[in-house]
Amino acid sequence: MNTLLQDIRYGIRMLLKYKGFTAVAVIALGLGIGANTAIFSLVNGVLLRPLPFPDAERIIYFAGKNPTQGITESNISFLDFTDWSQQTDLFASTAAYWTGNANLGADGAEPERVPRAGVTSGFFSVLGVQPVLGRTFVPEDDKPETITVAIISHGLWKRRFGSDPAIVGKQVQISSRPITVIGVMPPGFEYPEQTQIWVTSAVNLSDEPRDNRAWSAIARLNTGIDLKQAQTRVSAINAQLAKQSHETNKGWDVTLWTLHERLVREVKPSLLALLGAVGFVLLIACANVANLLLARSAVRQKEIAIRAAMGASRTRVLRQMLTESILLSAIGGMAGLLVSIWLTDVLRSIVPEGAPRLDQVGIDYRVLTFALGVSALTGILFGIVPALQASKLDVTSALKEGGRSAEGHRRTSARSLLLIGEVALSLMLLVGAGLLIKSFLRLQEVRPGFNPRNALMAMVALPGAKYKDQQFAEFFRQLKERLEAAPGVQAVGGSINLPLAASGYSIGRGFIPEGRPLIRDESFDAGYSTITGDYFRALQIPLLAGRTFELRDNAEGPKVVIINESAAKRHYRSPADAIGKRLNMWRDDKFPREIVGVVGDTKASSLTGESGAQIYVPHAQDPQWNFMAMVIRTAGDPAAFATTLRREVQALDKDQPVYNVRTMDDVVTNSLGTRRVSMQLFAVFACAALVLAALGIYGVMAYSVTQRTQEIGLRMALGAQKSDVLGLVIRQGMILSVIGVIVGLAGALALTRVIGNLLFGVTATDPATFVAIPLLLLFVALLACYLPARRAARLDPVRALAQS
Amino acid sequence: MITLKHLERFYPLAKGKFFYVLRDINLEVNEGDFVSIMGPSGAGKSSLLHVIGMHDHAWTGEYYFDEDPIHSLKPKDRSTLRNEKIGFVFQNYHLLDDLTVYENLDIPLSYRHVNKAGRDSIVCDALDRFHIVGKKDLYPRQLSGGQQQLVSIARAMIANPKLILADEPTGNLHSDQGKEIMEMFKTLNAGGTTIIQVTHSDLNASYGNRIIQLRDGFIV
Repeated sequence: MNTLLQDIRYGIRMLLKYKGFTAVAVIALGLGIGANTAIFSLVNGVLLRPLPFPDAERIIYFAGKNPTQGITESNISFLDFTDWSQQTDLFASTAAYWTGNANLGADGAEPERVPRAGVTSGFFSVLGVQPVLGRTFVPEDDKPETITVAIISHGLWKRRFGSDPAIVGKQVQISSRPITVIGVMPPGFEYPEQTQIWVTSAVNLSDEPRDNRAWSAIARLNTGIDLKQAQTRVSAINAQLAKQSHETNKGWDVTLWTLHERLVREVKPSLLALLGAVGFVLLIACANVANLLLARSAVRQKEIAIRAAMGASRTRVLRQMLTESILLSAIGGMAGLLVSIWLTDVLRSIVPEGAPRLDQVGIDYRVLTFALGVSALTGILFGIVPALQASKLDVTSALKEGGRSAEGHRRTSARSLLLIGEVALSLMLLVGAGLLIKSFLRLQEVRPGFNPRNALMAMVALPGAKYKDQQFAEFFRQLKERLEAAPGVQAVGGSINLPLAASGYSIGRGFIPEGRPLIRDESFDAGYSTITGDYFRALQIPLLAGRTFELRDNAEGPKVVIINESAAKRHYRSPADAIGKRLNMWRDDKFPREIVGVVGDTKASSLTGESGAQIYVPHAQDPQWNFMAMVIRTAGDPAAFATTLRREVQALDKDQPVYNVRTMDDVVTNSLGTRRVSMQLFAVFACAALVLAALGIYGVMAYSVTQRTQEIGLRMALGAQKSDVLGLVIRQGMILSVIGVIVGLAGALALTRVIGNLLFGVTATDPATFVAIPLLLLFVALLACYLPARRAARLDPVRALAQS
Repeated sequence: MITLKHLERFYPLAKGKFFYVLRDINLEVNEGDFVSIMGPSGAGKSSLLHVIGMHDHAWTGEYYFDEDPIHSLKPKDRSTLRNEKIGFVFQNYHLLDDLTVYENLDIPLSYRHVNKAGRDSIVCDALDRFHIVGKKDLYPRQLSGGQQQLVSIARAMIANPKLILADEPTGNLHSDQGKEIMEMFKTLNAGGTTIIQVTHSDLNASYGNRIIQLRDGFIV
């Protein structure tokens, strides 16, 4: 212990003595460890930290699928859910729920739209969460099609109700209905999807169709039951259901996920890829610091030889050197921790809205342990090669002044190997970043099918207690007229679902072209939109044939429909051919609709997804929808029209909130959110890798020139020209760089497959990237070699020889 | 104390040839001897010293130290034996620049796993013995050459070795300082320490009781 303290004391003295070296190493390590710790804090918060529920690993999620119809992700049917729930040997408790929004208002404060979930009584029991005030639901609370009680979130209670301790039992106006608050949930509990109000599910079992797959479901597994067992049993039930209810359940099954895995499934690949990328940056930084240490250990040969002569064993020399490198990495680690605190905040601010579990991201004991572990590992990693080299020193040679020893060559080999490794790692990272950037550019070229410039969207949802069917349609018709009258507004329209899932709502329906049997198997699935006003003009979705909806397409008029290009191509010879043909909506309508128009395709859920068939119906002819995502096409900056929109809505109904107000440009940008952040971070890490690799190459070549001063002087004295010397040095550096590039290419071919699912429109082995990136890296390497080479070419041979 | 039989040290050259720096060395050094190794540059003096000092393991022949056959010991056992019995003094002092005088004396003891209290006591004794108490907190660069060599001798003696190997110990010193150092060696030798020095100086050699001449690797 005492000798260890001695080593530490000496180590500190050495770091203070070589301040320049220490500063460079600490900065490189601080940035490397800091970036790693920051990304790890994301991984920790999102992927590693368990959900804040007791025994959270036992909570599972049911995701519907129908492989025969090509449906990989779907909600589930409530009736199917009740069948699964009967397996009490599998599940301790189960719950189904739906999500939506509710207007909270009429209590004097400004009306607002808050996320709401309708849940069955087992919901809180599945999650194992108790309220801080009042109680949760009991089965008796859940009445068909009637909501009378609600539980509110801690945040809402604090913000909207001033933490009123007597809130339980009070009535609040939720969507214009008086609802009694029966409980307040603990702080931070907002499952699912930032829910602020939980109400009863209000499911009417006698009227619930088995194929209404609009529900979500969760369950708590019994102790001793694992996910696989539950999956096997539930799939067996589904197979049975498919036989019993062929019409509604053919091909349908569910995938069981742990709730945690389900929540993070979309961001997990990006996060792991980023952790890998940032790990590469740290490895490159380590190689750089190791090279610096190797150069310094050459200077310290004499000291180490004396220590050996004084009796220091090889282990002791190794320990002394490793103590110094770990000390260095510990300081780097502390700097890194500070960097990571700042960087974590930056990351949180650039991660797009809606990313899961961001509230869990922060510095906790796991992150601290990671930083400590990475620092220690880093210290060993960059210290081990120089330490081993130092401990192998030939004392006799080193103690002879000016003695040239074999260690010099060994050290040179180690430096060369480190350089090759650095170039290889940089290339792998650069290729990864290149592929992601190319994907992102391809993605930006994807046309969403509408013009997002100068368009504003906003959600308006009318309370069912206040308005009914045609009143919904009338409200939105009036709103459209009022908005159109505002200066600067060019067109106004609305839809229950906007492209790129901007309204947060989507619905599909089955359609059957006229003349075919009206059975399920004959129907084709299409996205369904009920629209109002000049929807197509507001979004500038092109009309390909026929006409758009007009005022005559009202409740009394002939039933009409507009289809998109994909639907027209699927069933008709051309868009023009579709006009005048008729469609039946399977089960939902009892009458056919005439196709009056064909419009261009829009991307329904994301830029990477397919457009798919889409069908539009005028709101006046399907007035059940109480909400609309309104779109305003403006002459100038659309964001400036948010006030106008709110004013006009409240002029029609002062209690009516407007929410989700965004420009369509923001909608497009946000749809690229996670990819953009991944790409940006990858690009930053790749640039860091490129700079570090360039510095590494420069360092090795500069050191080599210093070492070869005498040789170069001699060559020049013997007649070598400047160009010969320039070539000599550049050749040495470029040979190492080319080897690094070859190794890196092999590594990149193997590793880019890992990010395959993050790519779009580019293969993981994209030839252009695999050619351009190595050329870029070799060009940078050439520059890094050129500077020391120029210095070598300018050597004065007389002075160079005198130095020896 | 030391017996060398047919000891040879060589470096391999290309095409299976060798360059010999020590050839067929046969030497006997008794306990209490003060031996001076002399000869022209390149004769193999320092090489012989490093072989005796067990820093160099690439030699052939037989080497006995206090009856222990060094030639059949593993490098690790040789290091243990060296740490117990041999101290070194170099022409360039070879003090550690970043350690104080006190720490320079302390370090060989720490490598020999002497505990802190024991080390403090031994180092204080050495500082007293070599009259360098006042210099204990200074760094080597703050001392004169003679003072540095004095510290170097104190360091060589710190673990109480039976044998001191000195490689041109006064080579870098002013003659007065050199004389002082040689007197110190004489005193140590009188106290029972065996000394082998490499020197070019007849005057320095005259402090010893025996001279070995080396030429082209051979004892002549």
